[in-house]
Amino acid sequence: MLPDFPREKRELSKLLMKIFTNSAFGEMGPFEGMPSMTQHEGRQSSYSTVDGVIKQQDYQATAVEYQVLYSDIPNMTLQDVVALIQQKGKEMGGQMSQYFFKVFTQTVDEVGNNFDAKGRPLSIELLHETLEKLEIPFDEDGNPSLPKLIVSPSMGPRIEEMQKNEKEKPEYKEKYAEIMARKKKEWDEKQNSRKLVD
Amino acid sequence: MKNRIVENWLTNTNELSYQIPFCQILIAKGYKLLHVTRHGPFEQGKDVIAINKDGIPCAFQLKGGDITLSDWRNFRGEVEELLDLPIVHPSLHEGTPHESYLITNGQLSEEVRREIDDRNRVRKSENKPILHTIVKGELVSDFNLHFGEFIPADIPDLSEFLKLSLHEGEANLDKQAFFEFLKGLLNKGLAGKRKNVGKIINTINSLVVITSYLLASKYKKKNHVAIIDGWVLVLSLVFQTLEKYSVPKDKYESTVRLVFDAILLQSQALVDEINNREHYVEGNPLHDVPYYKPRITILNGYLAAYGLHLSFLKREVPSEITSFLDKTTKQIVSLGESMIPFFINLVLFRKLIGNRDHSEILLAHVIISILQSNKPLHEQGFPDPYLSVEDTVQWYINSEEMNVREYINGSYTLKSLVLLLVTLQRKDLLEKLWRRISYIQFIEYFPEEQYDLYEWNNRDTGKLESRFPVQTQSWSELVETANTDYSLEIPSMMKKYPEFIPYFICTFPHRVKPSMVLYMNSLIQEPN
Repeated sequence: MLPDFPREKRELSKLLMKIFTNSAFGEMGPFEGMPSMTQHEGRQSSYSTVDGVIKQQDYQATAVEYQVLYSDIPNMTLQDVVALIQQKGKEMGGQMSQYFFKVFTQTVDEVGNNFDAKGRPLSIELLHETLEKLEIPFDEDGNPSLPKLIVSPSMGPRIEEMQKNEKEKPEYKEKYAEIMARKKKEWDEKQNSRKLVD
Repeated sequence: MKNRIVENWLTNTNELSYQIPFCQILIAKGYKLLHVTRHGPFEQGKDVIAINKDGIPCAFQLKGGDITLSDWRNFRGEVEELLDLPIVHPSLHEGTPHESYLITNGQLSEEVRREIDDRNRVRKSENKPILHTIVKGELVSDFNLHFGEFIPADIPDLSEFLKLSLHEGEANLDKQAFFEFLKGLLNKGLAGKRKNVGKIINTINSLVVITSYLLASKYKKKNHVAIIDGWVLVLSLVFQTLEKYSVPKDKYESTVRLVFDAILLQSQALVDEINNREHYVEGNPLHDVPYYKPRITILNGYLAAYGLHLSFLKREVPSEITSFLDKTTKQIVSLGESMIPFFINLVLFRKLIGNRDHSEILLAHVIISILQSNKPLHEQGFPDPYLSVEDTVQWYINSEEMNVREYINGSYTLKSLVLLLVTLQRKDLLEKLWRRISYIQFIEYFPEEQYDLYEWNNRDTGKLESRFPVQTQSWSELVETANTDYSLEIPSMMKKYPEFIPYFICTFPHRVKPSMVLYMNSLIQEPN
C-alpha cells in the first residue's frame, strides 16, 4: 500500500459527519429542535401517544447519493469536500423535513387540530383564533412553549405589519394575555390529572 | 504459530491469570474439581484440589515464573504443607492420601530440580508421598493438545485476537469487541450440523481458556473490574449456549463454577486493594478530577454486586464492602443510564443489610436525576444505557459536541426504579414525583427468545416498546405490578444461578429490565 493517514482520517470523518448533521438539521425548519432517539436493538418498535394510543413505528428510509471520480481528487480542496458534504446534508435534511411534514399533517388531521381560515388573510385576529384551538404547554416557571409560525417568505411584509399593529393597539395585547391565562388554566387542569391515586 | 502464541502468553502471565485455564485443563483431562483457592491464609499450600480419573485426590500449588533456589527456599514451607497436611474437604474421608503437584509457568533451576529429586528419594524411602512437578513446556503441550484448535490462526481473527489481548491493561474492557470476538469463536467451534454435547462442552471450555489469554494485559495491571467484565461476558455466552442446546447440568457445572470462582477471586482482590489504599485517585490527580466520582460509583456498583452474589450463596459478606460504601456514599453520581445498575445493586444491598432508609434515599436520588435531565420543554436528556460509562463521562465533558436532543423524554431504567420504590412502600415519594414521571416514556426491549438477553446486541430481532405511564395512576395497580412473579420472564440459567444477575447488569447495563430487577428484589431477605 501507499503511505496513508488512518488516525487523522478518523478525526476528519467525525468532523465531516458533524458538518453533515448540522446541515441536515439546518434544513428541518420547525423540526430542528425535535428530540430524537436511536433504536439500538430490535427490528420492530411501537410507541404510545400522550393519550395512550399504541402505534406501530413506520420506518422511512432516507438516503443521499454522491459520486466522486478518482480523477477529480487531485484538483479538489478540503473546501470542496466541505461544500459537498454541506450540500448533501441539506438534501438529507430536506427529505427528512418532507417526511416529518407528512407525518405532522396526518397527525393533525387525525387529532382534528387543523384550522381552515376560509380564505381570510393572515392577521392577528386569525392568529388569536388559532391559539384558542391549540393546547399550549407551560414549563415549571409558567412560561408558555408557543408554536412556531411557518409561512412562505413572501409573507415577510405582512408579518412586519402585524407586529407593528400589535405594538400600537393595546387591545391586541389584552386579548393575547386573556388567551394565555385561559390556556394556562387549561394546561394546569390537564396536568393535574398526572397523579397517583389510591 | 499456535505453540508460540500459547508459550508467549504463559511466559508473560502470573499464577492468578493461568489458574483458571489450568483448572480447565484438569477438567479436560477428566479431573473433578473440588476447590480453587482464594489465596487466603488457611489454604495449607493447596491452590487447587481435584480428584483424578482414577479417583485419587490431587493437590496443586501454582507458582509464576522461573523458580530459583532462593525462591524455593522462600516457599518450601508451603510445599511441605502441600505434601504433608491432609486435604480437608467434605467430599473426602479424613486422612485420605493425596498426590501433590508443584506447577509453574516457568522453569525450575538445576539446583531446585536436584533438591526436589533428593527430597523425593528420601520421602520414598520413608513411604511418604513425593512431589510431582509440571513446568512450562508441559503446560504449553497440554494447552495446545486440548484447546489449540481454538486459538485463531487466520490473519483477520489472529489480528483481532492479538489486538484484544494486547489492549491497554489500564483501560476499561472494550466489551462489545470482546463479546463479538468470543461469539465468533463460539460459532466456529459449533459449526456444522451435528452439535453433540461433547462438541458444545469442548467449545465452551476452550472459550474459558481463550478468555484468560485475552485478559492477560488486564491481569498484569490488576484491572479487577475489567477482568470481572471479561468473565461475565464469557459466562453470558456460555449460558446462552447451554440454554439454546439444553445441555445437562452435570456436563457444565465444573466450568460454570470455575468462571464464578474467577469472578469472585477478582472481586475479593478488588476489596483487598481498596482496603489497602490511602486514596482512590488514579494517575495525574488534576486529570483525574472528572473521572473520580464515576470511578467511585463503579466501585460501589461492583462491590454491591459482590455482596449480593455472596448473600445469594448464603456466604459471609466481608465487612470491608459496607465500610467502603459508607465511606463513599456522598461521592457517587448518576450521569447516565449505564450507571443505573450500580445504584440498583446498591439499593438491593442496602436492603439486604437492613439499611432500608438508605435504599429509599438512593432510589429517590437516582429517579430525580433522571427526571431533572428529562424535564419537559428542556433541551438536555439523560444518556441511555447503550452509551458506556466512559462515553457518558465524555458526553458531559464535550457536551457541545454531542447530540443532546437524543436522550430526551425516554428512559430504559425508570420503570424498574419506580417499581422498586413501590416495593419499599414509598407512596408518599411517588405521589410527589408522579407528575414528572408521567412525561417520560418507559422504553423496553423485548427479545424474540429469552436467551437473546445474553447477547450484547440484537440488531435484527426483537422489538422495542416506548410507553408513556398512565397519567392518573392507581397505587394499588402499581403494587400489584411490583409484586408480580416475574420468574417466567427470567432466562433459565439465570434462575439456576441468580447470583450471576448483579454482575450481569453491571456489565450489560442495557439489559436492566423491570422483570430482572424485581426478580432480584424477590430474592432479598431483609434481616428481622
